[in-house]
Amino acid sequence: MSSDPKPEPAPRRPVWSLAFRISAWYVVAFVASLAALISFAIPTVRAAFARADTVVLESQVDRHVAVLSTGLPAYRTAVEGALALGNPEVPVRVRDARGTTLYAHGDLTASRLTTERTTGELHVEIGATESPWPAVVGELRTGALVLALGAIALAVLGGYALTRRGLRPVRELAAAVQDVTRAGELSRRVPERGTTDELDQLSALFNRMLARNQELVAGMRDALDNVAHDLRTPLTRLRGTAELALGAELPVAREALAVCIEESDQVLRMLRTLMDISEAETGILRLERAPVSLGKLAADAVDLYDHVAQEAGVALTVARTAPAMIDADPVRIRQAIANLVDNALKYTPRGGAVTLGVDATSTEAIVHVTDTGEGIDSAAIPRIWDRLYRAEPSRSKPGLGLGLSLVRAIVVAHGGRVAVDSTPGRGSTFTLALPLRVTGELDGSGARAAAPRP
Amino acid sequence: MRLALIEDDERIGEFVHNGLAQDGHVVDWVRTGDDGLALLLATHYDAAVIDVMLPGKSGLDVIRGARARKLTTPIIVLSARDSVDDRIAGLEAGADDYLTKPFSFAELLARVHALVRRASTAAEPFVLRFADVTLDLRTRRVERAGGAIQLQAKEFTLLEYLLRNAERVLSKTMILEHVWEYGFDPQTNVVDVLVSRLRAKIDRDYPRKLIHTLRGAGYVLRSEA
Repeated sequence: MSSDPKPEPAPRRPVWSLAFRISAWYVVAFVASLAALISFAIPTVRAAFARADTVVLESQVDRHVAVLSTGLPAYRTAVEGALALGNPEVPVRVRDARGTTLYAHGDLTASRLTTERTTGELHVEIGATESPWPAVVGELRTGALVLALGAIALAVLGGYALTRRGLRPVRELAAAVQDVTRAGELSRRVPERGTTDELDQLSALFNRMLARNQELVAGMRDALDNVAHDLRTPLTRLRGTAELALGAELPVAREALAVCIEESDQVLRMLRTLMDISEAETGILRLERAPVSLGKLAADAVDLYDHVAQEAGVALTVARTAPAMIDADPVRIRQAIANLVDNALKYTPRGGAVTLGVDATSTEAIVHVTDTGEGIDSAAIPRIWDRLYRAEPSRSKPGLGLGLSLVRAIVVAHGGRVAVDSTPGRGSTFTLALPLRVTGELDGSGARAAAPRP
Repeated sequence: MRLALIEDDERIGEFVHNGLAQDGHVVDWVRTGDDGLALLLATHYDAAVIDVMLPGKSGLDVIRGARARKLTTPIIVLSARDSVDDRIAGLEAGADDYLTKPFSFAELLARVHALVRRASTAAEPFVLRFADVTLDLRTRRVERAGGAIQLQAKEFTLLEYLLRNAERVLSKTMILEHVWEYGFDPQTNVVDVLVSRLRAKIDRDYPRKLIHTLRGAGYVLRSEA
């Protein structure tokens, strides 16, 4: 049985900032294309080197065949002579048609690459043992790896820095919205860079919207001010004229004038409360926010009603005070708590108790005002916050029927919420929850202002 | 006292003028900001009552003009707006007090007297007396006709406030501001309850009643009804 009117959608908490996600995707794409490039380039280079090796070997075997055609002894002398001159060793094997080895030098089986040729009766095979290319490919691979690691590091840092820089207008936009909605700074604007890119255009459009909003709000405020002024001026004349005439001798006239004054005061109070509610609900109520302890404000309300509770024979106490700092207009929040206490005392019979409790969750500072009064009928609960609504039994009690709507309007204007829980015959608990004071600013790196969650 | 009144509304000006005159003051009343500033600069006044919304130069402009010329006359601003920033704007312009329309004339009178008294530098007495009531600020002892009276903290503060303003009407708003430092009207009977508790201790057992209720105005400490 609790009412929770107008629940506001809870803003989602971004786990990773947009700048982080964009740069992460950028790095992933960069690494993937770098890997593809390297895994294509190295086998290609290796294949090209292998082809070059083959060409060299083929031209070599042609020379061997040419020398061999001058006879085996001459060939042997040429091969060993070349070796003696310090030429790189080339494994060779010369066989006759029957396959008998006539001459062999070096180990053909250890060669990377072999080729063969037949000239007349003789069959010659030569191989290539060492090649400079594998070393070159290895160096290439190491070099590519080092360069790739460097490029990735640059991509990670540069990408993050660039996206953060690029998204700065978005963060400024978010900060401006926060100032406008939370602090009511209607004159706040987003800085424009004049770069005429998409984000700058967005900032410009946003500023135009903010300016329009400011005009509308100023118009609304002026309209309300004019209404107030136009109602207050005749009330001032009425009240003043009656008060000055109070000195009259006739007791009947004095009584009539006193009634005029009291009634005009009543009209004024209603006007003032309705104005406050309208201003709070349209978001133009000026809040002089300051860091305050909710426990202190609850204690103030108890102090204000201390002797009223004594007279009514009701125990008025603060049961517990959790440390809970809020960013709020102390006058307004004190007024909201005082209204709840006033209401609770009004409906609690002699011998009962009205107990305040201040609690804090990770996001909210909460005041509970619990009474042992008559309770509220469950059918009436959703309507008790409405303007001028009063549950039938309370028609006899004094009051304007505006107190609770003002409480809700003030609390909602602060980004908080109100709730009530009641058991008829046993009592009610009114709850007033406000966002805990935020110490860090919105910085776009994932931390976000603690927002009210219904 | 000699007082200046700058108010363009005829009816409001009339009752404020007549009320201040009835209280025994000489009142010069003008209807525009320009006349008002000229008046303030030409003559010495003990206090000035200035409406904010005036034709031509606004009330706040008049105050700024006067303060810029080193005029120290205590000034009360009257305004039909009662938001906190209007109040702040008034005080920043150099006003000493702020009253929202519609106001109780008795409250205006009490505030004028309070301002003039604040401006004069008389020594504060330690013992406040009225009729057969005495209140000692040092020992916090309260007596009536020689008999001690026990008061709670808030009752003591209220009695002290009434004694300091004896014979002058104090509105509920003024009492709220003074006793609890509450800047708003909580629309409750807290003031009435505190006054009736004080009355039970100060007046109930004595034939001569001192704390009187003035309907539509507030409370006043005086020796006859």
